[in-house]
Amino acid sequence: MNKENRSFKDNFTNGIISPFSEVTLIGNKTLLVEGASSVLNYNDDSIKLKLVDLTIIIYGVSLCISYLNQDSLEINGKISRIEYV
Amino acid sequence: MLIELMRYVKGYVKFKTENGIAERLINEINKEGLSVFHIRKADGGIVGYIGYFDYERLLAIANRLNIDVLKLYERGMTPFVLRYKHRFGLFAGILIFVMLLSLSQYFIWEINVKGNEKTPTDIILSELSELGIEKMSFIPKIDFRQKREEALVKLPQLSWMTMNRIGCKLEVIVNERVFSPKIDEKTPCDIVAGKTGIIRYIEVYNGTKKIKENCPVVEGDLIVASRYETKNGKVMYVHSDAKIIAEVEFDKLISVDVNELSKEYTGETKTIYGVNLFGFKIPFGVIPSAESADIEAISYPIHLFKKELPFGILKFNIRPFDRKAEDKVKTEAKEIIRNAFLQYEATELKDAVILKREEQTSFKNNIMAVKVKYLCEENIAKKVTLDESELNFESENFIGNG
Repeated sequence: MNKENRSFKDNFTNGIISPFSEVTLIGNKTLLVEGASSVLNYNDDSIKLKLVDLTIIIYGVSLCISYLNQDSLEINGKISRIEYV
Repeated sequence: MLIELMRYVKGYVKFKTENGIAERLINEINKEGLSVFHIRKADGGIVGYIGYFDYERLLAIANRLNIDVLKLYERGMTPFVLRYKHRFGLFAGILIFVMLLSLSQYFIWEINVKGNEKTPTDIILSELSELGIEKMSFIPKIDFRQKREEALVKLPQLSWMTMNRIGCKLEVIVNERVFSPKIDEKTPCDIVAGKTGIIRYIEVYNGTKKIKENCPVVEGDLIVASRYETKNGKVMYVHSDAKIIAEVEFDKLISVDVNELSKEYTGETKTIYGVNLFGFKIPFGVIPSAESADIEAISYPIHLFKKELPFGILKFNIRPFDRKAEDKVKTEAKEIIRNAFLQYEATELKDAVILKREEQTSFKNNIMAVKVKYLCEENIAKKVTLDESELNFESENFIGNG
């Protein structure tokens, strides 16, 4: 992404995108994370994510990253606990 | 569902990492902007899916990170097409098949006749065949409206006919003319006026004449009575029979919607699907205006436990048309009306003598109407059975015909 575009994106999104990450849990099967920066640790029963402003660990069974892109990711499985570190 | 379909079209590769730190690979993939999905932990690494064209970049990243990546399989339309891209015969075959399939829709493959009971289907099919409508007829060349009128003239036993084209199938729905039931000759009956007019000639074969020649009658007036009294006062009933020729005057109006007639279908048919959500029809495409195409919306509601849900799938059948020149349409409309009158006269007035015929043409609101004022001489005798109360007589009081 060139400088001009980045500047435009930054200007455009500053007003509408929260500076914090958003974590949405749907039942205990789906977890949507907006603003995830990286995956620190990945196992069947736990996934540790580095978000913009904090780190979280998701515990559960048969955890699977359904999709992953630069802004968000979705985790499916039987989620039992979320820990904010 | 839609995302899965898009992934299938684009193609994807299932991969497995064998050693190294899988999390680093995930983060690098993410940084590079590659789309991965359904990532699971597997023995010694991860298993996941990546877009078909991103796989090479994944290998480069994995190589940089010293991670072994194993391709498990590839799926989707793109890999399939690329795998068989040198098999021109296969694609040519598919292309020819599609071309033949699209060409085949311009021919009639099947003709179904419905609604006939007394007129055999073979006779209807044979008449249609003479008019150029048979299996493998070229549809764009057929003017179904015109052919229907011609078929009705040729088949006077039919009162109505419609031709519905459903894809390559032609559905011919007919309605047979219903003649008034014939009264048994052993049943006593009167003869009344079947129409309003002036009686010119009466020839009674059986019964008692009640009205003289040159008398005006209204529809339903008694002309020949079944009942008569013998010299000794006994009431007798006969099966009346007579020929009543009267001068009758009536109007017949036939009209044609010129707006409908002006449509010249291009022969194309287009289907657009959509959804029906709580009565709102949302098409997945551009629906042309009603001025340029006939649009038929068919709704397929979804049922759950035998209950219809307020949403479902919609199918828009679109038949585009061009407009014919106005003069041409008017000439065509006149021709259709003329044929309809010919048919009417050949069937309804076949036993009548037309004395006078005045034609009046009007054109209003895109409707061309022709009103014909007829003055005819025809047999207006109409046999009617007697009421049960009136017919309260013993069986020996009835004298048969003649």
